[in-house]
Amino acid sequence: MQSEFGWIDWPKSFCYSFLMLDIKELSVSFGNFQAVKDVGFSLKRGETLGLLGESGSGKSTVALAIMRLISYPGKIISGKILLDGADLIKLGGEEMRKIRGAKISMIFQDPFSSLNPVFTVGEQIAEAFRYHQGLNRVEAWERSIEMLGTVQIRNPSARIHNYPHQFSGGMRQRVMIAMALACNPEFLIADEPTTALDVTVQAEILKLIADLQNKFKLGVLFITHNFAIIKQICDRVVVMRKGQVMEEGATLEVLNNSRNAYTKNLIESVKVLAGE
Amino acid sequence: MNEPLIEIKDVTKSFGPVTAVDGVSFSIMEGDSLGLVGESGSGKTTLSRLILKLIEPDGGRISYSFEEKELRSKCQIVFQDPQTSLNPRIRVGEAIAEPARIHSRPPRVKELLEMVKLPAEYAKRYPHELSGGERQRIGIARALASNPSFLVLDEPVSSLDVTIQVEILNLLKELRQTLDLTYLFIAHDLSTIAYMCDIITVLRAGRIEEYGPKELILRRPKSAYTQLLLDSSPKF
Repeated sequence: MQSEFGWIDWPKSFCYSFLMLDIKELSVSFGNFQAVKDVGFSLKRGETLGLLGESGSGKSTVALAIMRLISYPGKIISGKILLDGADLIKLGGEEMRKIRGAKISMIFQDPFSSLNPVFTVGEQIAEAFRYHQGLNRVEAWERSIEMLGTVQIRNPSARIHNYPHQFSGGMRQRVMIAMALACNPEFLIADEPTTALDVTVQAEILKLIADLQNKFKLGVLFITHNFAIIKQICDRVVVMRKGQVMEEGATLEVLNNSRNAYTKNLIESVKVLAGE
Repeated sequence: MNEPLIEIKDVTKSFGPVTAVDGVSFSIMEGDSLGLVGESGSGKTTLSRLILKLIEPDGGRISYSFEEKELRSKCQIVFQDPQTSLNPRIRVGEAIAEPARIHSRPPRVKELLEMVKLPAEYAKRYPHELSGGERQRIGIARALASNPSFLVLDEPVSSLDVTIQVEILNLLKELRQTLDLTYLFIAHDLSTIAYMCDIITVLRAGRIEEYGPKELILRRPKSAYTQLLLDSSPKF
């Protein structure tokens, strides 16, 4: 895949040597309710880290905090989010906008509600190129077509004129991924990107994310409640419950020798359903 | 035992240009737990609504082993989303009592709550005071209120956390044993179906792709589509 597009295929270990996104003692509260308590983990470029938790565990809040998209009454009350050593929490709105999309991108669970229905997908992808890279309309449009091709949408030069409702759920998620990766970010936060999709489409999207990660050497924070997906694609996993980190470790290590009672219980439930 | 409870013959249903169910035939035997699996748009929900006579088929026939006037009490449904399928302004005790009253039976609120393993004092609560799993237990209790023999379970656990899923599925298994129920279990997830059902029907674009005992469908599927479904499910 890499050679076909002429990308340099850095060895994975080389990419791992950079420590990139480092979250330290992060706490977020919504009024009196503390959704995230002293959460810390780090994510290197080229690595896939799974953030696993059941509903209400705070996993999405962590993702939104990294993007600085926590909205009122939510508030980051303490901690650090270090990107290459610089604390994102200290950045102003304008500076943060330069990080979003260009350095860290995010894709969301529901591809049905996260695209703007009144603009063509082309306009929505091109916006990223124009804003972050200052390209003119024509250049941005050409790069957008290229990007749709990268996420394996057939006949991109025609499809780019379509509106979101003209795409299926899986296709819309591909468009979202194209938008997220348009400006070559270093990190991708994927918040349950396949939960709303059928399993056959889910398998395609997971493969696409893995391929693109390899190609662009992305660091991926993959948020899910599905242990099977974690096992399939993540190098390491952070297990969250009620806003706190229960356990962190290499995926197989956590799966096979978890020392945490909650994680064990979770794994047991998955095994029961898997018929083991 | 093992008489057909419901027979579905060449049933077709279209919504405008879309044929949601396209010539489907199969039987639901008494005491079976039949799994209906398919991706979104495959027609599983339409088929279940046809079976419950909530909508009428365009063609074909559905026959029941009981009189049709008994249909509403004999056949019940548990919905996917326990958040939206309970009236937020009615106490759950009242929600459970209502079906019995409609079918002029004594409301057995306490007994029903006991069946789904909730304490009796829950009757006074409102849905928002319960967790997702507890709400689904209320949904099940409500379905059991009219003493049905057949339950449609339309994705009853897909909006719940996996630990809660196992609890609810085990409860449903137990209830099937103690109350001699027949299940039509609808899911998009093969592992849930495999856990719950003896017979699996794979639906695709309104048609039956494959039908047979669980072991056969899961181990040696004949259809390439079933194989694709199996391969796509993330393995644990």
